[in-house]
Amino acid sequence: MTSKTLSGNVRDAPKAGSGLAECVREKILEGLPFITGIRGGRIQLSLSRMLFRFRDWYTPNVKVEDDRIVLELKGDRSSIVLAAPPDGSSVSSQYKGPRGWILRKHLPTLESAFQSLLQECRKSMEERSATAIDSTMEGADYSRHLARVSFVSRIVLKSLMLANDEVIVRKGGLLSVLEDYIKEYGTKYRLLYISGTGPATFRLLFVDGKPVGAFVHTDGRDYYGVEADDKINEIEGLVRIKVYGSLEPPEEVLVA
Amino acid sequence: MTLKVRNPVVVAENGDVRFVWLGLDESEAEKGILANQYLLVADGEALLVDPGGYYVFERVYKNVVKYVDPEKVVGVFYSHQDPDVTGSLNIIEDFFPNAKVYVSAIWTRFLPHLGAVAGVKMVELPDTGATIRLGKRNLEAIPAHFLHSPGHFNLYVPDLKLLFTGDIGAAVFPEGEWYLYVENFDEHAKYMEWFHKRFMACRKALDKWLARVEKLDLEVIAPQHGAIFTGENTRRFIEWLRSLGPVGADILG
Repeated sequence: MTSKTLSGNVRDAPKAGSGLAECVREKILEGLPFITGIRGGRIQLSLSRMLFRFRDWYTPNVKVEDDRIVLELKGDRSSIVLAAPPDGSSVSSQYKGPRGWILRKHLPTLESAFQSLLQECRKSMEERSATAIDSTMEGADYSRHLARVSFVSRIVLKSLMLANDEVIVRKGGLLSVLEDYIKEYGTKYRLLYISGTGPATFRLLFVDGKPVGAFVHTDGRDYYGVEADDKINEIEGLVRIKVYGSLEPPEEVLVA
Repeated sequence: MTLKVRNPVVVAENGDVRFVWLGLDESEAEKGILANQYLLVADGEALLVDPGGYYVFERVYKNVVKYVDPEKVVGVFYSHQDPDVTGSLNIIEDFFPNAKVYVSAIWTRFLPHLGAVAGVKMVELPDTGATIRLGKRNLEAIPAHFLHSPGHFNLYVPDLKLLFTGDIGAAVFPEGEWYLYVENFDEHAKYMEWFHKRFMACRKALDKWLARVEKLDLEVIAPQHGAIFTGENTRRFIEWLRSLGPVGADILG
């Protein structure tokens, strides 16, 4: 959908909730389930129950009304309204149109999605500075970023794979193996990303030879930073290690 | 305008077997040829189907884990070698450590150029096709060579009567428009014609594929680009290909 079409819908929203409404408007495509079409600022939702399916094209409209954020979906044959206070609690929904027995089954899913959308928007507005990657890099800890696919993808995309080895490590011996890689490649590549799979999954980040992030996933749990370091020491067995060297300066790869 | 749909859609379902569309991203460079990524789940195991490149990987991963644990993804099916199919191969192993990669035997020597892939377990699909086991089900890798790739496979899922057709069925949407399911076949055919005339290698390859596919029991045809055909539109799509006339090298004269 075009922002031009939808932005008009939120322009008159009261100031207090307008930022939130704007955010919801921007994230409709990301947040709403059942989207199966986009055309000229409209979205198609497709909902099914058993062998029956209902599809309709809707124009989304986000507004603030009585201190509630309201998402109206006005369709060709039906309409859906979702409303909640800014904190996302107590979402209400309303459906008008044919085949209500199909739609109503999915209203809880739409309510839940709307709630998540509101909470995500609130979180991003309140904690933007806390969640952003440290723009100065000084003293930055990227451990939690290493759990994110997008962060890892971005590094790998801008890097050269330097090593891809299978190594048998004894307990407590992995760190010395990793040190060898850092010695070998750390002088040529300022940013090194090292990933490992085997008895545990680990991801490590080094800038100028110094660790700036550690992530370990083992036994169904995630560990970050110092905790991750401890877990790395416990890894033993056959481990596949991949080492990537960034082709671009760390400041450009790591900074948002 | 950039089209991004973050939530997955279950395209077909039968008992413990599900075929899931994994969302949508569009970069300006794609010029309307949007790529679909899918997940096939059967009996608690899963097969990723044409998972795409780096920049869609985060969305693909997040949607996969809504259905199965990453460790339960036991395979990745590549219909062919193009970057919009295989581009994320380097990080597949990191995020889906138990996944084998199924791809035409003619491409296994080229894929390492995406980066070292020594840790990836490659399963070479012979030109004649192969059976892939997922959970308790047998899937069929059906040859679709030269349509357009010289090493191109479709994937047939008997439990769903569903055929994933890779590049066959691709459509180029007008700017700002996209839909998942074909509703108006005649309109949609206009969006498919250029791609099939330009990318499919020759009529002979298309006829050979049609002869095999027409014998299948089909309710869904899901391409890597464009929109999904269901019900009567699967038959209309087959008929459309039959009547498309010369393609690719045939047009050169």
